[in-house]
Amino acid sequence: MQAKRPRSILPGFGLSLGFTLAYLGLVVLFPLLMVFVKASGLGWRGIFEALWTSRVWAACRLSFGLSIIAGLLNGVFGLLIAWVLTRYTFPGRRFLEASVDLPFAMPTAVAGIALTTLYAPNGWIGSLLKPYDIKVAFAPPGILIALVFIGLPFVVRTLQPVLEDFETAQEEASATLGATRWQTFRRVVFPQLVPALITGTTLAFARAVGEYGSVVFIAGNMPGKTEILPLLIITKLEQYDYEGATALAAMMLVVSFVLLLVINFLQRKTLVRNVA
Amino acid sequence: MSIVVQNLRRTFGTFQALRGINLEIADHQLVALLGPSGSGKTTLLRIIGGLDFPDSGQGSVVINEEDVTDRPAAERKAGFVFQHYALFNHLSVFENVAFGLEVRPQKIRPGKDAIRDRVLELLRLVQLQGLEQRLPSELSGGQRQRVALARALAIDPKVLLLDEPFGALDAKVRKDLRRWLRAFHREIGVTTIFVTHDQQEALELADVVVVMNQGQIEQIGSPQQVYDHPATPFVYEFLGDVNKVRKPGRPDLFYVRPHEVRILFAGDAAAELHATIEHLFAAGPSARLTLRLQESRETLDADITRQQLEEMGLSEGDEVGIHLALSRS
Repeated sequence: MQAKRPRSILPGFGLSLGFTLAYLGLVVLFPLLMVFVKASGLGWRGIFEALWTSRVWAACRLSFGLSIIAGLLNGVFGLLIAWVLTRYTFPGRRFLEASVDLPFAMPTAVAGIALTTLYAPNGWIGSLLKPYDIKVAFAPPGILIALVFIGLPFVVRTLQPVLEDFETAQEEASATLGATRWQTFRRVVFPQLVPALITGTTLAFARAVGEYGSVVFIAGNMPGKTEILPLLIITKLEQYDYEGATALAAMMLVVSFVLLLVINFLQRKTLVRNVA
Repeated sequence: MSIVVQNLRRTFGTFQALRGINLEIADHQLVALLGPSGSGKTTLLRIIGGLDFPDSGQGSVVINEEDVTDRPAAERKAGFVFQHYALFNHLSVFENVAFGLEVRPQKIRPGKDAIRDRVLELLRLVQLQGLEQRLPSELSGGQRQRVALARALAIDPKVLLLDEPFGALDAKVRKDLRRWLRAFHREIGVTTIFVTHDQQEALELADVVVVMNQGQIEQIGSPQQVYDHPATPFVYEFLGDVNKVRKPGRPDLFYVRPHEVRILFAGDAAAELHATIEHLFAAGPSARLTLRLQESRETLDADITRQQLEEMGLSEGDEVGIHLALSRS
């Protein structure tokens, strides 16, 4: 068997793979497995009963729905921001550049409190929207804003290096061939950004699904209306309903995993074409 | 199509890349812009192609009697081949070549079949038939170069501009492609300008060589003209090997190519100078001697035939006489 392994100049494949598996297992997979073990205490019927309630269903729709929207919004505007930050030099660029990372660095509760103060009916923006009967804080739009806020850096930071390395000669080539600026962007630049864009958007989405700290402040947390899944899990934990909480967690894991798998698959398809 | 460049200036910050360039290129010519790096040759090419622009009000570019100085690249119909090809990595060879046709406004865009025919014809022309579904990453350097050429030709360019077309290729491929490009140019007849820092490439390939240095044109002429009658010391030194020699008793500097140095026996009455053979290298049809002049202690290179080498029975350390076979200074 040993002889069949292709020779490689990179040493230590066996050792590094072993370590990787052990590490991933210990840090990620094993704890997650415990979620399923714990949830299985309920039995299939118990799990079904714990999940099949209108409250869970509403939270599920809210959490995944808003996270997808937040991921997509971040995809669009993150691309724009990454573009501006890499393509142009202007006064204050470094300041903007640094501020992109702030959502990473702050405790999420701080973000939640800040956003809530701003968008509450008596806040600066909230009070402007109030006469038009637009409610942001304590309503789904508020949750969306929090999810967009915490996901933005993922898109910007994954796109930036790709944009910085982009060969400007390709854009010039496109221009000499008669393409308009828009055609150059759409046919030459954008397709080559897609893999990184998908990665960034996916990360932003994944982060949004699991986000708790910033959302609970701005959401209002009304069961069935503005209650997100992570909050529902906490609520169940506070009521000592550990099995119910883990059943919910297991369900979240499965759905997230399937979604990420699908996205990964889509990305693989774009990558195959882009290999350069 | 003819190209006329007048009084062109281009400054980057405090660096003057081009300082007053005047150039006229007739229809169908194959022109080499030759110069060391930093001489402004690529900047000139980019300005002709519309990828860069002269300092405002400083000069004009006229292609085919139409002033295009302020026109963007997209409107110039100048086929440009980039040094590193700049192929679209995510598109197949076919899609790369078809690009210039696909992006045309609907009114003047050829139909799908017409595009297909044109692309396949171009790929046949550059000898890449059968590779149309490959991605650029799956091609060799020489193949990428030819895809870039086919892509530039697809738009029926008025002029073809090549930036260091062979710069990134290895010696063998370089030579083949050079020969191929000359035949290719004869076949399609599009006015072509290429940038190079390789004098041999310029001399071998071009109808007209434009020698540039420090943002200025030193000389324009046929390969033979610039080689045999260099207009300035720079051209002399840049084109081919050259020796700088002082004759005894005269202050002026002579430029002598190695093959113009005649080697005589030390006692020969025709000898103007005397030297010792420091190094002797004999490979190929000629032998290269490195000589140390006795009069001035300067070194001098000389090329002589293998036959002469054998007849005179020269070896390292021998003393010889020298006659300089020209009167240029």
